[in-house]
Amino acid sequence: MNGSLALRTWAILWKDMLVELRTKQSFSAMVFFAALVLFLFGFAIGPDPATLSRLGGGLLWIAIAFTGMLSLGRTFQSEEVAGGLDGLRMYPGEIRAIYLGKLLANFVLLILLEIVLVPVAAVLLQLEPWGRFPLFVGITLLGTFGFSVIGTFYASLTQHLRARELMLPLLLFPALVPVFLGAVNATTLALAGDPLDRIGGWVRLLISFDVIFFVVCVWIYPLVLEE
Amino acid sequence: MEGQASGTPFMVAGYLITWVVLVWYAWRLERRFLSARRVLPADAEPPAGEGTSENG
Amino acid sequence: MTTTELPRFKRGRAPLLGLVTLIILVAGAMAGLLAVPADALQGEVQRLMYVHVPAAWLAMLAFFVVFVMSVLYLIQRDPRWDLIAVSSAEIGIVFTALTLVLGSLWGKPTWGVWWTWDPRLTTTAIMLMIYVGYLVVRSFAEDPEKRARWSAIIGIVGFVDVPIVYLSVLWWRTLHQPPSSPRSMAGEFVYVLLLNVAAFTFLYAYLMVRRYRLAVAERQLEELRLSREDRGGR
Repeated sequence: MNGSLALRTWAILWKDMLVELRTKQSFSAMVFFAALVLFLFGFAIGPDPATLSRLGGGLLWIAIAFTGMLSLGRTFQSEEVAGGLDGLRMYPGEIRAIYLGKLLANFVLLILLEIVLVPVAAVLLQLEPWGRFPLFVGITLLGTFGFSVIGTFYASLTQHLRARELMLPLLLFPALVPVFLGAVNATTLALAGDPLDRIGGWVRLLISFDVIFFVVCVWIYPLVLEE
Repeated sequence: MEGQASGTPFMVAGYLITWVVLVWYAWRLERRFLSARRVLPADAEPPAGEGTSENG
Repeated sequence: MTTTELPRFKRGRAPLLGLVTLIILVAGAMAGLLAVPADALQGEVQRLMYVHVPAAWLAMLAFFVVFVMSVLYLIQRDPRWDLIAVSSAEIGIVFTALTLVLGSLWGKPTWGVWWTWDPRLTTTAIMLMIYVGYLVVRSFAEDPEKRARWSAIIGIVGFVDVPIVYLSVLWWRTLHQPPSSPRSMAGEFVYVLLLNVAAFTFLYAYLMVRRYRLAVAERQLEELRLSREDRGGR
């Protein structure tokens, strides 16, 4: 990785964070949407605390995935006003910086969402993430990163399609199955205790997925944006 | 569970479905081709050198 | 982008290939239904293996071809690779769906349920969704070059994903119960299965020839329409 790529990535991340900071409404809307999803789960499953905490890991990740999917769609749409993406593309240097910058922006945004969402979920779903908190945080970071890697990639790919709001989840969710399985199972084990020590396998799955798809996506991203 | 007796209809259904799908798909390919061919001019010559519109 | 040199329609040997395919298919079905005895444990249902496994094989082969053609397209940018890829993807989807239906028909009498979260069955279903996404993206992209490029990318990423999906589902399931594994088979069963696999491989070749011919015709139609639109001065 050379200096100019890191610099450009940082510039794009910084720009997106500034935009996000100036329009705080969209972030609050995301948070409220995620909380709303958790409430709907509560209504669907019923108030039994034992059931809720047993399903908690899965419910948390479904809420994150749905909310993340909605916010991914905006990543590249925000560039469409006044030809922002063409502007980005015209700067000299690596085109991969666009992907890396957007990927990090999505990742940071989702982490911020989770910082608000996890305490809410802990209260609503009777979860106890505090016992093995570092492990819980690590799993959440790995899962969120895998989601952002594939999500940003497909968000960019579907950007110019008709019916992209439909196409993004259609492509994204099947591809995410390993991340979803890994994150949900590892989180559930971290929350409920892990007597048979299975958590390591799921963490390794998450790491492998993140690394493989990060390499593949970074490598072929220039083909996505080609004119 | 009585495997011998209860399984046969499922086996027959499986083979029937397979063959119906095969014939249906091959037939549909033929039909789709013929209807595309009908619209194409007799000696389908792709127009050369025309730029397709870009909307980037 | 200049329009592409696409092959003209020739009469070709497709009808002969079709005839050979039909003969082997019928022979395979007869062998599976009549020549071998029913399975001692499962009974007659077990004969579904002779179509279920070949259909799954055909689907895997088809998606592998999608992957290879996607890579070739991105390297050489020859639209023919794209047309072969989409032809293969469509055939793969048809046979993935067939594999799922046959697996379901096999599962009901043996396991008592239409659907079980068996790693292979689940992965097959996810694979179907990945490649349906591939086809749907194509129908939503107007420009032929972009459509080919984007779908080639999906063809590559999707293919890389399938084994990881399989491993993750396998892992997930083995926590609850061991996956159903095929018992080792006696000689004659293997030969009948191989005959059927060969039959379905011929079937793939035949369907590919036909589907590719259709893809070329549709592409020519599209180029005709695009050039008319350009001339229409919009």
